[in-house]
Amino acid sequence: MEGIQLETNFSIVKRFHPSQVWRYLVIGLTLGFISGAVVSTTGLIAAAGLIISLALLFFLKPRRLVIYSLVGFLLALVRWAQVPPPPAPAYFVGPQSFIATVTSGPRIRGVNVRYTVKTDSSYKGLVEVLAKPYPSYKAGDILQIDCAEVSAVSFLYLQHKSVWRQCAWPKIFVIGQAKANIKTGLGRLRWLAGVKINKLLPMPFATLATGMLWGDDTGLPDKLVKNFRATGTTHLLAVSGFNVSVLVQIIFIVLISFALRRQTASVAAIGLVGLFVIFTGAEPSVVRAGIMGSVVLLAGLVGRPADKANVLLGTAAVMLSFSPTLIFDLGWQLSFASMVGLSTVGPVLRKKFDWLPEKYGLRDSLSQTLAATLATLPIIVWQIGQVSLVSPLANVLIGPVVVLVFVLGLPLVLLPNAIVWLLQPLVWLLMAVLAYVMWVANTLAALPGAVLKPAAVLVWPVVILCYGGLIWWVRKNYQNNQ
Amino acid sequence: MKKLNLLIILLVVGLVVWFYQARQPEVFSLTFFDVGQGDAALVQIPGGQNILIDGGPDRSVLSKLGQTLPWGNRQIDLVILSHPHSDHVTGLAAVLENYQVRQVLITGVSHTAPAYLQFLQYIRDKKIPALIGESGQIIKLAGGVEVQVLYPTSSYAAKVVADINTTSLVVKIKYGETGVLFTGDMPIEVENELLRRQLDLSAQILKIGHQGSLTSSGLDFLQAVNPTYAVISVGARNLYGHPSAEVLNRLQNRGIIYWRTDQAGDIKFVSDGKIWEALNHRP
Repeated sequence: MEGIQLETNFSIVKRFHPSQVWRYLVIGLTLGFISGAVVSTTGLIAAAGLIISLALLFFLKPRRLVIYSLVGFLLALVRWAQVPPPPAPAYFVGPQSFIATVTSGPRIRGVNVRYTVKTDSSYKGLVEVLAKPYPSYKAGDILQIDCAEVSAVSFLYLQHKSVWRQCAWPKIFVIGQAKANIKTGLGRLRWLAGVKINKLLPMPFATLATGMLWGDDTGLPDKLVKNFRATGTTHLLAVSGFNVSVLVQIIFIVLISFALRRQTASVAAIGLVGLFVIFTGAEPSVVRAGIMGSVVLLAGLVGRPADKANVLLGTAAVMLSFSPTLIFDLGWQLSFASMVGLSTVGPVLRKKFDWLPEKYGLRDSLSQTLAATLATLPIIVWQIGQVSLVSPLANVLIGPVVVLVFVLGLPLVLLPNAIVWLLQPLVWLLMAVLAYVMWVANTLAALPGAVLKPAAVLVWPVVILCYGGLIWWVRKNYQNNQ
Repeated sequence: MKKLNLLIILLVVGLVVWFYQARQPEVFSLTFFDVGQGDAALVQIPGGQNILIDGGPDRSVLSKLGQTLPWGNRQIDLVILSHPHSDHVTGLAAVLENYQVRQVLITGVSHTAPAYLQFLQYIRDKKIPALIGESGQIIKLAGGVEVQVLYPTSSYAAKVVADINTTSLVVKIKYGETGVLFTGDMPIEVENELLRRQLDLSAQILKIGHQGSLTSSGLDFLQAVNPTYAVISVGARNLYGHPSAEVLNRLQNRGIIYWRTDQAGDIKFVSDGKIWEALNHRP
């Protein structure tokens, strides 16, 4: 009799599809990571989480699936608890001599250059080093750094990247090279590709190209950076998900044109996207786009359409499980917000724009650009404190030519030096396209009222109003459509 | 077919834009770049030759050159380094790295600024002919353009000097009847030495020495140069309080029209060989 009962219970469990279980689990994980980020005391969150969980269990059904969410929530809290706390205020400050490996940089802004280095000393953390432009160091260089004054980092942006200490203008000596691995190898390739582009194109065209192709916009004139910010187009310089999706499409078309079978092309594309993610330095927004793109390709391989919400939440949960502090990264936040916007607001806007012609993907382009802009706008207001009113127009004008930068720029990077000169017309066209991008950014940024800066007290009300209004509008239209 | 048409249109538009931007200049022009707290100026000679005088404190001169020179022109015929302080040489090291430079004019003075060492390294690596500047030298370029070296009076090559500013190259660039005087960070004591030597210092445009510091641009020197226009290459809200209010008063009292790069941005003049014309900016 008992055996039959067990059999019956088992049949109930089987009714839940793994994708449902996954969804509830990752919802719990994501909520747990958000809670952990908002409230720092893990115990308090755990207690609150437990009370809310019991309430949810009581009211929500199916209870078994809600349990998966609770498990996810608690797992996220456990993961938060494992994040190393900041070092004690007096630790590793003052005069310090240490050996460190360059992990990123050089990042050139004005007269100074910044590097992030990982120390080999008792302080096993990251240090931000401010140096003069010459001599220059590369990722993987092992340095002896004699710093007159190591100080605590005050920028939250750096703290969230686990950079707790900084040092300005130390004496630096190169003492070696880190062991070669795939990351340093691709980093070296990235450097060589940058040198090549700089030989073919003058500044600022070269930096704009490397920014759009693999996110290296170091040395771009401050005024131009300001204008990209004012027009809400900086994501184009940071290898956003948009750039990765353009690249995936190009890779796929090229592979198919080489008469590869669709499945083989998908596998090859996944591999190439993985390499590209490492090549770009694995910025969070690129990793996000890489994972999501690969999952969609994999879903195509097994013949099932990928569930957008599951892929999106799953990617967020997996990335946060590896590094919970990513939740503070602006690029990561914008990347996810734009994806949420594309999958929720995008279809509604597309219906509203049915009066627009489909030609040249105009309707799709406009609805997607506006959807991503609306979904990311409150985050930009919150984090940067400004709203670009010309952002939708700038993105609609620049978005379609991003593909041209890839089509014209990639052959210049990939082909050997000996024959690149044959492709001089590509250089000319690329410069014309980049000049157009700069012209749009400079012209729109100069318009009166291009940027609004709400007073600090208004920031949170604006954020809440924007998201509240957006959710209400999407729900209303969704219900009407139903 | 539609895609092919679109591609052809794009190709044609791109090439038209490129050829328009790649035209060589038809007039003699002089641009003082806004590179922050430091100096950088470009002389463009009809026919396509270029002279770059100093490079500013960072790599921003590269973007200035990229946006000013005709597309496709990656050659600088003469690079002049007034003296090896970082606010003059840093950008030039980047220029040597990224451009084909045909000749450099330097003092050769000994200095250990990392950017200067890198600049010298590029000269060695790329085998760029280097001329050590001395008073009396004249470099002739296309269109009758002359670069006259007025200072130093003798070579500073490999010499250790306590005040590097006193080694600043002073050059006059002449095009027809028009001229411009570049003074680096030359202090008043060197100005007085030039006055004692009774050299022809007259020029219609004067690049004010040392970002308008009180240590430069003495009254006697201004009287000898007698410029119509003056340019102060200076960074906004700089820590040194440049330019000095007293220097500005001296310019005003002598009726010299002056511009500051921190206020006017890039400052451009053109010359027909008889008269300078200031473009796109007001004093």
